[in-house]
Amino acid sequence: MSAALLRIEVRRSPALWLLVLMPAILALSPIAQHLTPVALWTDRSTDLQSSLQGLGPFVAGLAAWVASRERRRGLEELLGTTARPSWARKLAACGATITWALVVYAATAAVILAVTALQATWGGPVAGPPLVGLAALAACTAAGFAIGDLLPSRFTAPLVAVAVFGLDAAAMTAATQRHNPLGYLSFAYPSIGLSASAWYRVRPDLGEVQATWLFGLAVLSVGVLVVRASRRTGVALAAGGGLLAALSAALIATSTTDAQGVVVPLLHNPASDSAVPYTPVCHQGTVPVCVHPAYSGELEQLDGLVTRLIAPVAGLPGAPTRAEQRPSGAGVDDGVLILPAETLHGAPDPFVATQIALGLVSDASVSSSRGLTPAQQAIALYLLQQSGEPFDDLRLSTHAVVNAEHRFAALPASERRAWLAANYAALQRGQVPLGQMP
Amino acid sequence: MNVEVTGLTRRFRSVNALVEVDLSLGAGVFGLLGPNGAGKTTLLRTLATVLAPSAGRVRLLGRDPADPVERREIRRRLGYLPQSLGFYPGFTVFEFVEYFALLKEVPERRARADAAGAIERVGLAERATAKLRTLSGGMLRRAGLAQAIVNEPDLLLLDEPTAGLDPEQRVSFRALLRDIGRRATVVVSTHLVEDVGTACAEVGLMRDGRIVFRGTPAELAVRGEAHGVGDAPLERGYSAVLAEEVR
Repeated sequence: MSAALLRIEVRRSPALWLLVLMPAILALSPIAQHLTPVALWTDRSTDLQSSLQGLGPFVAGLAAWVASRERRRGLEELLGTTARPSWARKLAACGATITWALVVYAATAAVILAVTALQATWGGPVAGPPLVGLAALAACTAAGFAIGDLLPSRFTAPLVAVAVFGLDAAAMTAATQRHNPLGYLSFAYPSIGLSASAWYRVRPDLGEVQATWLFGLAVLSVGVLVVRASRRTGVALAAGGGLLAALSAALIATSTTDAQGVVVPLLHNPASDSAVPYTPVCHQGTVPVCVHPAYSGELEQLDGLVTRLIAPVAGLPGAPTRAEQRPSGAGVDDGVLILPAETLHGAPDPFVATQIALGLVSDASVSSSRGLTPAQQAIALYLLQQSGEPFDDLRLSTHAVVNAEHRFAALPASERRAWLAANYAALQRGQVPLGQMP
Repeated sequence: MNVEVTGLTRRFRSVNALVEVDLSLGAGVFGLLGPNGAGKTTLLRTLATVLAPSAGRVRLLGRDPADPVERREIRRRLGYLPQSLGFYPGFTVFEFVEYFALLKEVPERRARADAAGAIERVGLAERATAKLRTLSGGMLRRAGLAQAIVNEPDLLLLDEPTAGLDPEQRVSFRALLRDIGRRATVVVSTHLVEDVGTACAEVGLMRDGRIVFRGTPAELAVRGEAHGVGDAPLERGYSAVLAEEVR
């Protein structure tokens, strides 16, 4: 491929319009909604990969549009009489499209990472997800171009964009709803586990498989593009790419998942499961509230939430004397209320409030193996109601639970306190039946 | 000889577009005349290596276009302007011509200078930085001609090159053809007999896929002296030859 050809193509590529559209793409992507004050590098890095949900199909359609221009512009015959092999000029046009897509992606990454650098209180950028995004961009462009070259119609571009979007959405659905491991190959599926990402090293297993899969697809597409001009090279490339893609599919089929994400046995390095040491950041309220330093931006809000929720049980036998954020678990563990590793996004969060209230009425060792009893749910509902916090009522909505909470809330404060003093510890162990509530 | 064609036949399904055409051409400008459907464009497309012959033998620039390696060598030294010129509207004139220079494997270090030279020769230097979408039909035709000559071709094939050119542009275009024809083989397919009369050293007249006349423009004019129809001697020669063929 000639550098001068690439220069002309880069200068005149319609993909240049991506730069103009970038602010809109950014605004519509999940990234815009996630630019909250509490920034986790893992989340933001994954947001970049997730932006491919919109950018990938768009770039694939654009590449198909560029690939079909020879036919649309009536240049096939004239170009067919030139000496340079057709694959060279096609790769130049495809390369120009990829170049602009990468520029847009890099600019997006620069904006996101700069904002995150100003906000984050722990850690640093995580390279894996953005690199998978890069591979996805290359694969989307190459696949779109190959299809546009095979079917050079003006309808090909929108159909390719819709097809890429649909295929990725189907893969995401397979991964998230049916837990089909092949769905993890979706280019938008987070390549790292997010739920406990601040506590552990980044596990690269899935990212490596996704990148190999996408690289295989890109090479396969280039092979399809080249095969008409150079059969031997094209077939070799297509076979190599297909082999890489098949290998990736085989690897991911053997994968399992845990709290830290996807484990691919053949690639897994146990060292990537180790915890990252840290010093918690604490705030002294009714009880000390401690969080991982990555979440220090929401410590004050979390402390206020815990203070309001814990008020009716503070000081009672079995009541927590400290609240601490942990990557997993729920309930009170040896006097420590386990706080969920969730981001509050700077606003009252019904899910987090409900998690803390449920944790206050349960013993960590018991709640992990059994569901909460109706009495526990009723008291948790009471804690939420008296705190004035919005909560996740779907988890506490049975008729009996709501009635019990109403009866309990209607008691004089001294009677409530007395009942809790007598029963709170047993309630946490799940030993108080609903009928025993006043 | 730059063009050596023997028994060339080209079929499209049951239609014979070319029937056992024999043609050998050296340096000079060769005009191809003939009514619509006579086979001029098919002959040019075959010489341009767009179409493969159904039968017969073709050698171009001493090489066999059926062989991929030799075909690539032919294409390096070939210039072609098709009847209908496609273009990328976002490219400038310069980029369009440089693009074709690179595709014709003009060395990268020379491509820009050669593109500028070709644009100068067709009189488009002042519009070199204009986008193709902004050009008139005549200017586009000249941009097409510039891409055809950017590699200094030894075989230049032009299909209706003067369509859309104004009289002044045609005059300079014919001068350009004569200039190129001094060292290269130029084949011009046209409906305009005045182009042939002024620019071509030799002319071929096609009908029903065959070359039914080959000679100088003066010889063609002589054929019409007795009973040709037309306003000019060449037109009378043209119509006389075609009429003889019908009989």
